[in-house]
Amino acid sequence: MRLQQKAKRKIQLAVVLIALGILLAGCQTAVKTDEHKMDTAAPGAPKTQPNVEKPGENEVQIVIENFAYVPSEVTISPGTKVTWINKDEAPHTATSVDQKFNSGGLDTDDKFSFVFTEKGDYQYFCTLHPHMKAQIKVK
Amino acid sequence: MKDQLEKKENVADERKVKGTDRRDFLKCMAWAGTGLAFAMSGGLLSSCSIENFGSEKGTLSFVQISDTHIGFSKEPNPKVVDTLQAAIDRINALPQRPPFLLHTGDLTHLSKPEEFDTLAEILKGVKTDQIFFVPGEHDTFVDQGKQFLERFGKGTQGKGWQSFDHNGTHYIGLNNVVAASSGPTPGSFANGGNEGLGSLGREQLEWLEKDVAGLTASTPIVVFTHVPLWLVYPQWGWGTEDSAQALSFLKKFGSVTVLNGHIHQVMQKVEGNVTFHTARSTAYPQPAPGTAPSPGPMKDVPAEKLRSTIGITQVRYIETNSPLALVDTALA
Repeated sequence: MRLQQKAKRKIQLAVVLIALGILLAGCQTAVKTDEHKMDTAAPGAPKTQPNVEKPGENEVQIVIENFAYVPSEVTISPGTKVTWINKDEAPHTATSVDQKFNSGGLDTDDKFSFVFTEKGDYQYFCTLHPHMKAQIKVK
Repeated sequence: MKDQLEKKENVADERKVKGTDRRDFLKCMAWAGTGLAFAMSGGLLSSCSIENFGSEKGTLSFVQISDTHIGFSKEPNPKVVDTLQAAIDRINALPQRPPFLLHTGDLTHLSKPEEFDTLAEILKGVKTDQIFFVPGEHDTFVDQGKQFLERFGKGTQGKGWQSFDHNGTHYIGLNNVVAASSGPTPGSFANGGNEGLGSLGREQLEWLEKDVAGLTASTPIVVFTHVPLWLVYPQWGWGTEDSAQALSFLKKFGSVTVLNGHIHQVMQKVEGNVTFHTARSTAYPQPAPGTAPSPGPMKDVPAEKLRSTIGITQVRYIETNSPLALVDTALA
């Protein structure tokens, strides 16, 4: 009974976040969503990829190192902010195949963030090293 | 552990030998204090000393510089402007003034306007008539090469390809970092990136076929492009996927020299009448294929060794039927 209520609240919260996301669709960065807990850690919720999310937070970090995105596949909930940080000596980009986001050139230690508001699979790659490929799944 | 390390080194050595193919070129000499000189020729090259290359043995056709990466500021070379200037001093000190220079791409590190500005300014100091450029992926990854073409692509066609004749040799500049949208890897060109890295694209190939169609087989051909036209190491993206088609158009020619940059090290290969040659960077070295986890800069090169790992390439025409002679000169 309590669980059901909780789940309901979460659905409402998700709807609010999606609406918020639509409002903010033009604004890629600096969207703070960390005060809300998403349902990834809720009991009974489907398990997401191991080690790709910090439980209880709405942010995910992807490290670019040795010419690879780590982790290369991330599953997140709508409203999650993904931050790429380049730890290589060489510059890289995180560029969506279907033009949804593009970091531009990231030099060493540069960061780029994007808040994913819509569900879907987002393939991305590095325009400097196109063999570097990865994806974000928003469920 | 030690055994493993030794084994690794051997593998690297083998690769090196394979990459350069000892049967087909003369590894000439190292001269004290100034680095390595390679001379490669199907014919005979009587001497490889730098003195001779600066004087009577053949005519200096041109000088190639590559991968200047203006804007790079990390180890092993925080001063890429200084090393480029050293390369230019080297060129200006040649006994023969080169009629022109070829820059085989990666002018800048991050395609920033001020990086292009700096490069243009420094190159004004080269004693030559003209400089021809092809873009590297670092010059095109932000805007598909728009800025590059506006500033360094004068006289080029399409996305930056070109050809010209000089002293009976036909020169062809190819862009293999931004394929035409009709190329083999369409899909994401519109986002400013260059998914076509390592491909020429159909539009450019069609142009190339027409460009060489009317030439006699005895015309020496020089192709200059950024990424190697042979498959050096596909795991690192060091190769051009549709190069076979380009080379098929050049089959009839008796002497074809293909020059590129991109991999920041000297590597050579001869296949039939085609000589492939990759030049050093003037900025920083990259590891030999497969000898490091990634192709990033070799940041651990000691400062005093840096200048032996970067440099320029002189190309000379020898008055025989032999291919062009190539001399790589390190800066130290």
